[in-house]
Amino acid sequence: MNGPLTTASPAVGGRYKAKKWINAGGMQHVYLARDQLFDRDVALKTPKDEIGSKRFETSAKISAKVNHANVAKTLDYLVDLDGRAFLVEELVEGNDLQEILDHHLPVLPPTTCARILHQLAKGLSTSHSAKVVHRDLKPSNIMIVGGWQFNEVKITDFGIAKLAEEEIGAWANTHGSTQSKTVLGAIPYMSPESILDFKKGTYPSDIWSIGAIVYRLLSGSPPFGTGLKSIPSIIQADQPPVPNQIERVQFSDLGQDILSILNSCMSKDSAARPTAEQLVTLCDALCYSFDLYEIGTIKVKRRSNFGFITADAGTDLMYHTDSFYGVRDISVGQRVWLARHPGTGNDRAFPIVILK
Amino acid sequence: MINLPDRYSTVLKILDGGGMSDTLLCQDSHLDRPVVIKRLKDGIEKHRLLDELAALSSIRSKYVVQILDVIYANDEIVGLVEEYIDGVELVPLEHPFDRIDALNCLYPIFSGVAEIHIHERLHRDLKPDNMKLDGAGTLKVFDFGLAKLASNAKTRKLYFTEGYAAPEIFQVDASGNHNFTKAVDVFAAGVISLWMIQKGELPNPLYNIPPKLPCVDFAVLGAPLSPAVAQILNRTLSENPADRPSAEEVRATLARELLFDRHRMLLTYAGQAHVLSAKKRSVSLSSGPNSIKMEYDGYDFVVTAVTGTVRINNSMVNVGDKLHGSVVIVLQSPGGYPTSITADQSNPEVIQ
Repeated sequence: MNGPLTTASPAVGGRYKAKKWINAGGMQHVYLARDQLFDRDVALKTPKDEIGSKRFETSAKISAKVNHANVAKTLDYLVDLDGRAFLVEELVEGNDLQEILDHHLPVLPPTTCARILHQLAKGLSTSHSAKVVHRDLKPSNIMIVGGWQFNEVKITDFGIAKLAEEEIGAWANTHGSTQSKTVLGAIPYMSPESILDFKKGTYPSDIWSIGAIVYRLLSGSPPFGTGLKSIPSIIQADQPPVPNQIERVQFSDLGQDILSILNSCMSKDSAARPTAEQLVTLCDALCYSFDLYEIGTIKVKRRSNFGFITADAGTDLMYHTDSFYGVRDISVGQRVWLARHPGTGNDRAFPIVILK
Repeated sequence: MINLPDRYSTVLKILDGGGMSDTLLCQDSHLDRPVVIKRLKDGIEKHRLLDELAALSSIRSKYVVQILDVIYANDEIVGLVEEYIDGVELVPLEHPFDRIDALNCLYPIFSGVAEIHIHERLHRDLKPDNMKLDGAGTLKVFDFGLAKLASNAKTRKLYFTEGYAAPEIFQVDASGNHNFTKAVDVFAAGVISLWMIQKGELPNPLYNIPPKLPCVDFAVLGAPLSPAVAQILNRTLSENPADRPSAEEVRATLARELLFDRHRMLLTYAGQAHVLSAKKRSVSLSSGPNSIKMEYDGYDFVVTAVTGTVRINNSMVNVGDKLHGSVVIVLQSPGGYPTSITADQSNPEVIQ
């Protein structure tokens, strides 16, 4: 009854026609589907075999309470004649943040981190005021419209914690070893209180997770490491180290501002963390550009500190080594991600990150 | 009256649907949330519903309500199901207000109209009654019963809301049609701005058919609007539609004012950082006989003095030049060794 949907399957509810299997999160299959009624593409989610449809329904109803531009919109929920449940969600054309980290960008400069943090805070603020806690925020639950172009951030899978509760909850009770992707993916972003009792996660736990996620973006690594070995450090909750990338003068100004917000999000005492609304206000005060990003290749190095980049689309750009965020072991032929700024002779690239 | 499908059969409230439709607040039992159901009133042409359907399903914007489902009877569409915005009616600004209050309330109005226009749609009936603010303060535009494609917006039978209707819609072309353009929506947005600023009151000449223009000068209302904002709002109420700005132009002007004094420029010189912002408005940097002075005027970073040889991104600099984005400033005497300064500007976006 839970066989894969194919393009030959009839439209779900006479309306949603599966076009492509996108991926399987820990809990559910996700398809790209055509909403034939409105002629638009949507995301169609259906639980994997092992999840009770009651749980899936509860999760759908939780996610339907949140309505904000930075949260993927819940459009429909239906059960077909075989009893199989489907959640229809706004389709985010892009990638999840985990995919971007794994395949494209190992680290993100402060301007991009500020943009992401700001939008996460806005989406979370609306969900918290609707009394919805996410409880399982991690890069794979954060969709980025436009992928590496970072056009817009949309939090997804509100209510997924209801589904994950059994798996993560069971693990959290024992803290034993686990092979579960769901558990291992969540641990680096879990607050100390959630590690101790997953079901206890509440509003400040989401704030911690956002802090940990953006720290991961800014520094290239999660604040307390990965896997089971990170657990004692998370529970200890000492302030994570200052990312060495923001010690460079080009990035320190905004980088330090962001880091101090992240540190407050990751206060061990959950009462000391900002609320989502306060986090929005903190982000409102950050000064960051809304850059347009593109991809290019290092074309030539001149002297020790500058050179030129061939853009995949558009004219060549000049770079200065100081404009690289993170690793700046530059060599000709390297693929880079950058923001373009107008210049005479050549436009200038800033910031630049070497692609994976 | 139509029958509601089981899924939506619990009616929570009967809403005022405006002219075209009966509007109900119903509980969607599948997702346990309220939804708005619109049904045609008797005697109203069915294409109103279909026009709204076409507009809402083609526009994807945070400023526009989302359509979720339709209701059929005998294979015909007889109702629309839309998201319910749990929020408040648009209300005029409370006096006194400051320039930021004014900008914050006008910005989403023109952003919303600009997004509708990006999708090549016209709303044609913009007014405060068709707007709402959701719980997060995001403006939502609804009631697209008169909406049309921007490329083909004409009608024989004219519906309009007094006070918000642009003068040209009262004219009829050779084939007996009233023609609409984006400028009609911009006019209405200008009137809504006036309504917001003037405690919900509109001057009498606007109620004339057609309105008598010009009828207002935003610069002399006593409202804290900058000259640039007052001027562009005046243009929205131009008699000639060609004189009106696009919604996007107004949005951009409002954004520039909203970001006044919020920019920063980071200058890095010999490993030292200098930040130019509203807190520190000017900086002079020199190397031997070459120097440059820059000032932040709240909108731009402007070069105010130069001595010797100074280039920015490889071009000679002149007093009055504005710096954009990220640049490299080079101070270098002929034959001398160059001193480079990188200047990176942060141009914040309005995030609402």
